[in-house]
Amino acid sequence: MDDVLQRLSEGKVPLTDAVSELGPLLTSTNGPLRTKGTQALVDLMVQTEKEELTSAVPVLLQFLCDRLDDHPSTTPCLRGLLALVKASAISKEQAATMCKALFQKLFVQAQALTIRLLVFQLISELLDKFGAYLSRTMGEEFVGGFLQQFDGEKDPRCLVLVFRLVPFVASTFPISRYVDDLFEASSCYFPITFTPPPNDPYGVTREELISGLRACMTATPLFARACVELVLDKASSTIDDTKVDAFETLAECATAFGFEHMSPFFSSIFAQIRREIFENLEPQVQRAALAALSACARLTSTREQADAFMQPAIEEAVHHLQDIDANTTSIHGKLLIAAAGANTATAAVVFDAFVPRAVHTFIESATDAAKRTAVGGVLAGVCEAAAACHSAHPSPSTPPSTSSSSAMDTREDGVVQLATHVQAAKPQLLSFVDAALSSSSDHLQAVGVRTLLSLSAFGIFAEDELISLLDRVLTLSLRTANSLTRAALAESCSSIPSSNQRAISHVLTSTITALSSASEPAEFKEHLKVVEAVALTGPPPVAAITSLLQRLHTTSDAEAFRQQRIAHDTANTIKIIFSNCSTEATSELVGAVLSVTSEMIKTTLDQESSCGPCRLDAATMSTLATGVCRACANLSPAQQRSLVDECSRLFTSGSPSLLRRCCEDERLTPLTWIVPAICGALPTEVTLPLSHPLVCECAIGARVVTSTWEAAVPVCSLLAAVLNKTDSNKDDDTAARVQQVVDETVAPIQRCLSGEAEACSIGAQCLFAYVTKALVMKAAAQAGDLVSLLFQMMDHPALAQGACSAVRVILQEDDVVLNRSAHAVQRLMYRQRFFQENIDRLVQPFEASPNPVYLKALSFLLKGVPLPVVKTELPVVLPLLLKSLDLRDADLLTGTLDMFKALVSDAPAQLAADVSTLVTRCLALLTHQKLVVRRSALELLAALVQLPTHVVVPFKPEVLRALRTALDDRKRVVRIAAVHASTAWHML
Amino acid sequence: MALGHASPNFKDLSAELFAPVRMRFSPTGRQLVTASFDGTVCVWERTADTVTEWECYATLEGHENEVKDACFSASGEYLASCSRDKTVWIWEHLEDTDEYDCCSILNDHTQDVKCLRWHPSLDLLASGSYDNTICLYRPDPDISDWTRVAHLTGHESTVWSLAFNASGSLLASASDDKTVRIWKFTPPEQPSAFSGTDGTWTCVTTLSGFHTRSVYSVDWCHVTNLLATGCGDNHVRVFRQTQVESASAPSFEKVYDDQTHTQDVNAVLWCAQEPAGHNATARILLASASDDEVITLARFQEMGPSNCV
Amino acid sequence: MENAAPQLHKQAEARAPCATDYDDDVVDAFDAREVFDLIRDINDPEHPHTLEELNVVQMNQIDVDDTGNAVRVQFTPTIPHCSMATLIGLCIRVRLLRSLPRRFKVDVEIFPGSHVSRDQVNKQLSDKERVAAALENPNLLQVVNQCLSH
Repeated sequence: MDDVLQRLSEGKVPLTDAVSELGPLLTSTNGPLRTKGTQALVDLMVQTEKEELTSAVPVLLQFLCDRLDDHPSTTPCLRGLLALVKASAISKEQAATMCKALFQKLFVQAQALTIRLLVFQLISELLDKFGAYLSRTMGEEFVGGFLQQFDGEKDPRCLVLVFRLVPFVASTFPISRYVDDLFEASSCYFPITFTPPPNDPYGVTREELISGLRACMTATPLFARACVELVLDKASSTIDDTKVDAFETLAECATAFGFEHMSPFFSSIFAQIRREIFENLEPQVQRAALAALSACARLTSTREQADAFMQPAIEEAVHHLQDIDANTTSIHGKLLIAAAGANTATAAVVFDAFVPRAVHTFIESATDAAKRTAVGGVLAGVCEAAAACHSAHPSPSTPPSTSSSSAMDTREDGVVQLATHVQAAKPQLLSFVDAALSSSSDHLQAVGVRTLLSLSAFGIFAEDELISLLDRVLTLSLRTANSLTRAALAESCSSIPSSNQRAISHVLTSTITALSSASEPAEFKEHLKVVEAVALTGPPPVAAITSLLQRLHTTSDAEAFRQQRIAHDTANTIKIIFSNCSTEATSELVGAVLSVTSEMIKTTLDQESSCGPCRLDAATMSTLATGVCRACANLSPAQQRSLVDECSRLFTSGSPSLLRRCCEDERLTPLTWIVPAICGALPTEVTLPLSHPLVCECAIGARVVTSTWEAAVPVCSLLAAVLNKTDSNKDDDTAARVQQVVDETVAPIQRCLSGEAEACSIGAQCLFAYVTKALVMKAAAQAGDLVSLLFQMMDHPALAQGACSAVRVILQEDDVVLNRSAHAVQRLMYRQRFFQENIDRLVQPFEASPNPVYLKALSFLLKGVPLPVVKTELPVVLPLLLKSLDLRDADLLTGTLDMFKALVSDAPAQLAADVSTLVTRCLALLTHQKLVVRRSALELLAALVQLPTHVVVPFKPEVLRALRTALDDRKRVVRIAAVHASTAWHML
Repeated sequence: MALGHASPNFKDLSAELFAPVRMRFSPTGRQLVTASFDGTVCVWERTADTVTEWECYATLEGHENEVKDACFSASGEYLASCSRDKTVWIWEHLEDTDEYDCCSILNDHTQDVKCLRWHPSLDLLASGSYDNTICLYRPDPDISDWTRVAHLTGHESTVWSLAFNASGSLLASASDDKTVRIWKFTPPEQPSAFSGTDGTWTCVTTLSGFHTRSVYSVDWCHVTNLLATGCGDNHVRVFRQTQVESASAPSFEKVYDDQTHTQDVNAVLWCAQEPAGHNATARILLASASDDEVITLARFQEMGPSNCV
Repeated sequence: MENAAPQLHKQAEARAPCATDYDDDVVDAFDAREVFDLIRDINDPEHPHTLEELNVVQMNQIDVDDTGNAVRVQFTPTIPHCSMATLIGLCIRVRLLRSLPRRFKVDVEIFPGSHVSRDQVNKQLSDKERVAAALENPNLLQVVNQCLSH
């Protein structure tokens, strides 16, 4: 018999003969043998071509169906049947036969889990392929059979399948006889309380089951009554999770069943939601309940329906307007806001029946601040929600400019014209806005701003009227200390329809003018937020950006730090505006940036003193450069080319060139960022040639920088970007150019290494770093030599720092030009490769001579690659990292501490072994002279509590004692970290 | 030494907060009584001549929750304990045994009883409480129980500590109201068997304006008559009585004010030995214990401090 | 629950950075804002909101004397008969115990006029033995830790 099996497995027996050859096995009285035989047959089936399989189907199908109730053979039989269906080898009639056999022969719920899973997979395949036919021919028989198969199922994996099948069956099969049973059998799982066990290999999630079950329960309107009743019952549960699930399901019911089936329940649904909003404080439950309300409100389409639906909510809300407790007003307001945001019909009801009375109450209760805040909040909320709804479902026709009562209700097709209703309430609303804006409360003023701006969305204001209204808002928000109104303006100004061009630019101009009077960075930033929001609302504000740039330029004489923050915030705003610009505007804007920069350079150069008026730091300029560069990358090559030419003309002019003069002048180096920003993002095909005068000037410029590393970064970036995109295989000339650039970059380093020169300028070292990065990124041929040179530099006292920085540069993501969005050529996972190829070049020499430079370079190397990569090398690296904690170098210490912090959650097991050393080192570093070190040590200490409790808890007394001193640190930032650490350890 | 209390969180507590757990020696110095957070009182005996060997020979259970104070009477016959459960328990030593029997439970306070102090020679017990009052008790043979003989009101907040002077005619009380009050005993006009205990106590002096926070501890030196206080403002202060005891209103002057502690001073205690010979001077030490986890010893001469250890 | 629908208040912006924040040579004194930042995000025991959102703690009701080693925090229960006042005060006290240097004398009190049992609660909160005893109670400690965790 083994021989047959052997030949079968070698594919030497045709399928048609297999049954007879296997005969003795298949008919054996020995259970395991039968299993073996059936299994062999099924294995063969799986390997067989479709044609041959089809011809054998009649025999196989009969055999497999017959054997379904033969217990030892059940599993292989089901596999075989599944294989037949999957291979599309059976006809629809045969599918029906299979179903009947399945339903008759197997009582699924008495079977083991694997069998149940197979059955549901099989049914799923059958329905997939023959659903329509089975519905037509088997009909109720199938429904009954299927129902019996899954009724009582407990395993989540099976349920995931069942929950996919039920909605299909319920919507395609004649289920009328089984409606109650089918609903009962599936809804009994509601609510799902399943939580996957830890290390669950099957990946069934609670969410998956919840959404599956929800689809079952809402599969057909026939379930509507039973479903809504059940869900309402569960919504009154005492468990918040159940409530959330119930309300979410209710919202889905509304969408699935529609108005006709839902409307009988509206009053009980409303009662349930209302109860939650009043009594339950869990925000999640509140959100779900209000979402369910919105979903129901969305079902109403005519005014009559909306009126009926809203009646209880409106009645109560109006009634409680007079309540002494202002909170009641707010709570009822939540219901109205949810309804107003759902649907124009319900929103219209709110505007007609509630808004005028609420405004009346607001005006009347001038002395009751709490009431005013509550009513005002509700009114603003209603207007905002309705405006959002209005913008999402714009009316087909423009609203009437004058209100006429005949047009009030609905149009002929029944669609409610929301704007008409808002228009009708306009006088009241305006008096409310007026009262709110003139109130002395910051909060109410902001409410007024929000209301006014959201009302503008309905187009009920003529442009001039809007502008004069906005003037009041602007006066409040720009010229008072009320930051709430500024926040409201920033949040709501996107409501102004883009057709109101003049209004938008009015807000923008006024805000930009106000910038000059803002002295506090915080206030300035609030204004910028408004600028940002308005700029994103309308068309590209070229004038606005230009004046922002001017502002960067003509910095007032405020304290340097404030100035720096203001400049940096401005650069950020410009960057954000850039990221949302159309290409036409970008061109113009970049041109503006360039001309302002040129002006700034000229003014600075005219100033004799060494501390000129330009206070833009490198951080501000590189932020701006990032924005410009991203925008440029989206331009057409022709547009880019013309900007590049303009930039090149400017910086290569003069002798020595303007670029070189900038590089030599510490005040101007930040401004050179504009060069890579404009010229560094060209796509590979059209990139500048290495011989381009601007590129050459960059190389020269880099070498003359002697001040700081940062000063050389802009010019080095451009050269590196161009080099990176230059294909040295293109022609010999190009190859020679590339080699020349490499040689010239390497020369000063080598002179220094060989002792020919004592030192090497910081600019030349920076250039070396960037050139190496450019080549390593694309795995160029010369990269290997440069990297070798890099590691030689580590041992040279004058070059070691530069080498460390080079490691940092190579691995760090470059924000401006050496990245994918600026079209840089980047080999996949070049960082990991660099890490793996070079880690030993740091570890081995360090073991030979413990020069801290290696540790520092190592920390940059580790920081540059994803943690999983670090983890693979952890056994080698960990001892070095621990050693790093003994040194005093602040940068190295913070880098290492931060690395440990990241490893705590990623490699807890490895760290747990060294926890004693880590704790001791951290505690020792709490008295380090540099605050950044103290802070990082505290952050690591706080993170250590994530390690298994039994590992860390022995250190609790020692740590808490040491933290007492840290809690009294002289620097606040350190104290804040100490508080986090102290809290974490106390909670252990 | 073995710890008799079931107080598993004792260590955690030291990291979190410092709640004093009191201990006091018996008049002979061979016994020690400790009051614990777990509601029990333990009595220890010195098992050798060294001070380090102690054995717990009796554990007194009965209080519902943490015991705040416990101490031996002057005769050594009684032991008193008080607790957050608002009660004061008196335990009687059963002769020739190691056992103590509860002979009275006093429910006179309406709030936590914070401290106890026995009269230096009589069976008269004073207790101070969170209810701002002080009670004094003595045994009453008529009812075979203890009875309250005085209820002193006047403090505006918790009474943290009590101390008698050497003769027992004055009682000092330290309070959360930032004052120390001195109460004077006046015997009853009709002499009786209880003339020593049943008179009236009146507040004759209030030391106010010296302490800027809660006064946690007070102790009266029975050799020098100096009064020491430990305060939540980190100071240890010593006061000298400027008028003789018989004067109706004794007055005090501050003779020592020390701020070597950096946190609340929870306890002060005198250790005074009579001059050993004719020419010898008394050896007087003042110990203070604080939340800063330091115990300070200061050496005093008859009239004032000389140096600090 | 006594106060089912409390009024919510806007949260303060993060502390504005200052030029000398990272200057090792400048000593940053403790101030009211720093203490406020320690307690503003404590969760209310009943509501899913922070003490700041409920206006239970406010910046201007905190006094800090860095050189005099004194901190006083006054808090305002949401309603005058709030039974959670002691627990809220305890949470504030524990957070400060764990976060402030021990040199500070810390007073946690109810803002005058905002609670019916103000004196009682204040006295309990200032009794260090009672606070310690409360934290010895594992159930209570768990509630406090929940309020103090983010």
